[in-house]
Amino acid sequence: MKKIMLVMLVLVAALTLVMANGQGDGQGESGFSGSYAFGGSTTLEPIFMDVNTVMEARYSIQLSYDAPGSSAGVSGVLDGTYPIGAASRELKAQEIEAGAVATPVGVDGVAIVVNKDSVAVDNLSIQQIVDIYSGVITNWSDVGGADAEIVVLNRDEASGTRSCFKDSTVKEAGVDFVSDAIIVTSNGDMVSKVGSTPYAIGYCGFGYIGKDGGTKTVSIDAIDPDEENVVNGSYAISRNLNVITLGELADGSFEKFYLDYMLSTEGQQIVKALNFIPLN
Amino acid sequence: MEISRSTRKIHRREKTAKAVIWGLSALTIFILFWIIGFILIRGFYSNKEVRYDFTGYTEETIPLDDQHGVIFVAHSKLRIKDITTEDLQTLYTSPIRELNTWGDFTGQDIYCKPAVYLEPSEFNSAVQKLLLGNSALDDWKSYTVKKNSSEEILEYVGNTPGGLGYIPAEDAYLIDKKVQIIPVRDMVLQVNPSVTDIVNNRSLQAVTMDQLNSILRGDVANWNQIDGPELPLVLGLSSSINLSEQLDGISHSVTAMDSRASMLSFLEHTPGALLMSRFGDIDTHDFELLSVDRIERGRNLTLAFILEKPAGGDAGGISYFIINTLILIILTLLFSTPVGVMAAIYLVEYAKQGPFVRILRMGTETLAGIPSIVFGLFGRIFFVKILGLGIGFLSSTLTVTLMILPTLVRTSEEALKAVPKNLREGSLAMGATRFQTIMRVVIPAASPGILTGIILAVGRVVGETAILLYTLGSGYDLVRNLSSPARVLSLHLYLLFSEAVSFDRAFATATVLIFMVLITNLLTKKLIRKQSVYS
Repeated sequence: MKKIMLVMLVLVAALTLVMANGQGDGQGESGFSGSYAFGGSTTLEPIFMDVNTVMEARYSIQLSYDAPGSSAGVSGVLDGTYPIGAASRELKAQEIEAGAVATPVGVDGVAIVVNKDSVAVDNLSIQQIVDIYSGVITNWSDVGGADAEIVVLNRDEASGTRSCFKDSTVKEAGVDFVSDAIIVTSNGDMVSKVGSTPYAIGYCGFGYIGKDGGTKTVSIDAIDPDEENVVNGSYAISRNLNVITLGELADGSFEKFYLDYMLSTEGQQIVKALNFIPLN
Repeated sequence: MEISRSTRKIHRREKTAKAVIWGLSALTIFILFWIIGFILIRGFYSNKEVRYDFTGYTEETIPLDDQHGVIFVAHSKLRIKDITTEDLQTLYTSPIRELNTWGDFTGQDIYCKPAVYLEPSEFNSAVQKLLLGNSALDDWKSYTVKKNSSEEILEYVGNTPGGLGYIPAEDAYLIDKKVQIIPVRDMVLQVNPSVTDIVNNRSLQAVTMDQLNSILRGDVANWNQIDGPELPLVLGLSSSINLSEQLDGISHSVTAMDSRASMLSFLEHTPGALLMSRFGDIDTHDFELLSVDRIERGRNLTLAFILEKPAGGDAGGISYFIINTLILIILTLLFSTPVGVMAAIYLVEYAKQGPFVRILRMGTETLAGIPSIVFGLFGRIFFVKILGLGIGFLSSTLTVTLMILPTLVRTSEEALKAVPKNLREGSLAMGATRFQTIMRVVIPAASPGILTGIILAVGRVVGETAILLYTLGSGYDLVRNLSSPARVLSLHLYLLFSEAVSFDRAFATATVLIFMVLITNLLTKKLIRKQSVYS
């Protein structure tokens, strides 16, 4: 028992040292310090991760980003959990009423991804996509593939990617999503599940194309999912990437500085490097 | 007769029972070994197919013209296998210095420090054309270091962690041990649009390296042999490509081309044309690149992975997460053990056994069985929001403490109850007070049981994910103070997997977790044995 106590004591001492060290360099020369937890859309996660890396390298601050989805990001901003949130969809009327402000930092397309090894199909028409997601087509052989059941993967309702995908496919066709789709909770989750599930189909933001070696993209009406086709308007499914704040940010605050950086030339270069489409 | 039949029946039953028990236990053991073995094998070795725009053929010298070539060199500590010309472009032109790391290529969190020749010599402009291509960048990035000779470049690269540079091929004799030559992949495949036409919703997107090898050997006459359309395959090769090192027999029916115009017209006018050229040979926007699938094998869990500090999901190691996990365990035990053991002592030694205690007991039992995500929900709302502690280490530690408390109370209670009554009576009879009896007699006797309970709790803390997902955030840093968001191993593993960051890294992390649990178990076994001997 004494030995255990001794070990515990040593560990507590070590812990105190670690924390004391942390507090020692809390104040940076830039004037910004402390730690900030942002969160929201899983689509914007790579952008926030890179901007956080740059910020942490330049100033003595600690940043983190959770990705529970766009809706959770907006509600997190509204209830004060996140000083900055992110949504890959537009704000709803009641969210704007509650004080949320959206600032676009980039544009993103939604790509259709399928399991690479089992699905031979490389192109689908927009009507076929609607039919698959509304449950009219349930077998790959109906769209030129092997005779196998289509495993449909859909996103959770907090997802901005889902609402964008819905608006340009099933909603436009006036039908509803098939009810027995497998629900996944993030873009990353989507590509990793599609990549590991035979005969699966799903959709993700452009930034997640190729993130899982088991997936491949499918062109829509022979138009490839790439930046060029979104910019020239031929690619059907795209949306704004929004940073969400509660009201306008105060000048001189770190949050304002952070958002301004995202909109700066350098910030937009980060957006572009991650396969999203920068503003302008 | 009657007896012998019943005896036989009993014998038969015995035998069947034995067989069933043996079979089931063998199955259990097999499943255990299979799971652990699978995770360990995937944890230590990786084997995956990766799709590239470049072929897998590497060269140490990239030809610039007929006589001259360029060699790319890097600091010797970088774990580079090979790199594509496009990746070299990225490393030389990345606009933001803080994001220009080797992470994507070697998994190391080291800034890339590129160096170039200052002299606007013919050589430098040729390399500049190779690296900057037709992009609008007319100059190197401001953080690129300028040097005047091969010697200076080699000295800089050799003495700078993360250093990257290039020298003319004829200066190769200058290369010493402090730098390594980077094998470069510079060859790409382009096809006539007829090859990738969409027919019945299908089109050819990629070829594997094996398929490409047989194409170059001349074994593939028609695209339909490699899942492509019914079309004769016509192979063209840029004359700057020499594959004698990589392939022993190359097809003789190859058209070699040396000008951009001839390559373009070959691609444009030949149905079924496949052109293998250098990345810089022709503008890649004119014709689509045919992707190449390459199988990559390698070691997965390395010492570097355990010891290096983390840098994002796909670079660096997991050392901070191991430390964070340990700190989380210690803090939760500090919070929960005194409270839990005291509560158990109260319930067993002091409380009057009645309906109140029964309700308490039922309460703790119910709480012990509640899924941790419920605690996570509670912690997110109560600690994070209502108490305003924010997402961070304190909120998560308190929530995890609440989760393991019921288990701790229950196991300690059982341990205390198991202490024989006559021990207590003996102590009291010798004139010891109740408190003295508990401290000197009951707790020492019960300590192996209490310790087991604590270890079970440690196990739950190590494996906890749901609570931490809601309350700990996901920062990559070491825990510096109680409010900082952080990651622990289990959370990191979950995020690696669910965000499709890297299966390899997820399995490597899982392996580390398994070993951590193994070590904890062994340690406690030892402790318990010592304690039992002592008491």
